[in-house]
Amino acid sequence: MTVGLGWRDATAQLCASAPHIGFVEVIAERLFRRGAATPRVPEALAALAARGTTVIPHGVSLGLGGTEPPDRARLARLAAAARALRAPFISEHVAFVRGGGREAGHLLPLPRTSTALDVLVDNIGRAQDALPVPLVLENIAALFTWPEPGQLPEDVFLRALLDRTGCRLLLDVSNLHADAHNHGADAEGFLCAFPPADVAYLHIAGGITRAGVYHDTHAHPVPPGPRALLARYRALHGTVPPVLLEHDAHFPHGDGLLAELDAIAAATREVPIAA
Amino acid sequence: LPHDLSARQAALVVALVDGGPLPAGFAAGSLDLARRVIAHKRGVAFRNTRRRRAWILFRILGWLVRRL
Repeated sequence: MTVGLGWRDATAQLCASAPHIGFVEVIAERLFRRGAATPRVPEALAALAARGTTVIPHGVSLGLGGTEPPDRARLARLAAAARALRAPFISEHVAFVRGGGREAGHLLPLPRTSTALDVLVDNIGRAQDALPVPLVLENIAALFTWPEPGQLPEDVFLRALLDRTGCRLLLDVSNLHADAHNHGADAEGFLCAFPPADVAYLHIAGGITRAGVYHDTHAHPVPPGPRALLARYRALHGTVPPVLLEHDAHFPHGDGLLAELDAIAAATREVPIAA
Repeated sequence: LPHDLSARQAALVVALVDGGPLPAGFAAGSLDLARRVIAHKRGVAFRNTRRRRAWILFRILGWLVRRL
């Protein structure tokens, strides 16, 4: 199966029972109690992994784009999560999340400059040395753009990042849709730049447009825009890597998420997820 | 613009989280969306924490009532 679902407490039962769901992703930081070094894997998630369902730890706090090297303890926890879940890889974001000792509480975009690229490559190298499985990098939805002159287009920036680190991409079509809608990013060029061999899997999520701004909420139905990008990817490349639906709040009643998964499956083909 | 990425990132976080001044080069209003989103997420996190504390208090009170 090609379609996956973000594993949350509210989706645990669905993940365990729906034959549609070929793989799941769990927020890695939520597997650890404060200060703990070993993960506490919920029984339902452990059962999924034990029966052979691929479980991907998804990090949100490493801050690979920060100018300080990634924290060793955070890396050790990610590594422990990957081992506990027998994950084929770990995913994280191309973003920074803290600065000057302060936590931003959100994934923040980087200036797409050679300096930022060098910082990323160095930090990712350190992370790769500490992790037992490959690291996969996700494009984020930018809440703002930097005013730095001479920045690279995002696809060129990420292409260079993948080439220099050997990482594959977690292509988030909802984030791409948000950047195209809010900042005029070239979605078509982005999709062309990353053929399936470069993409480990894709994300799609719900969102809403308010006052002309698209918000990637993970709490609303998936609008047509991101699904159209999936279909466009298939048209460009002939196939679509595995796609995972992220949903974090305001979970629909009944078969709402299954209907979302069916709609996503209609835009993809069946390719087993693999390292 | 300053070339020190570390200082730029630190100034941005202060601007976004604490409402500090706009870092050099950022246009007025360009960080408003980010400020709103971050403030909203922090508000949700606070409510969740308060709710969790209320639940713990409720459990303790229940235990005390049963003991009495």
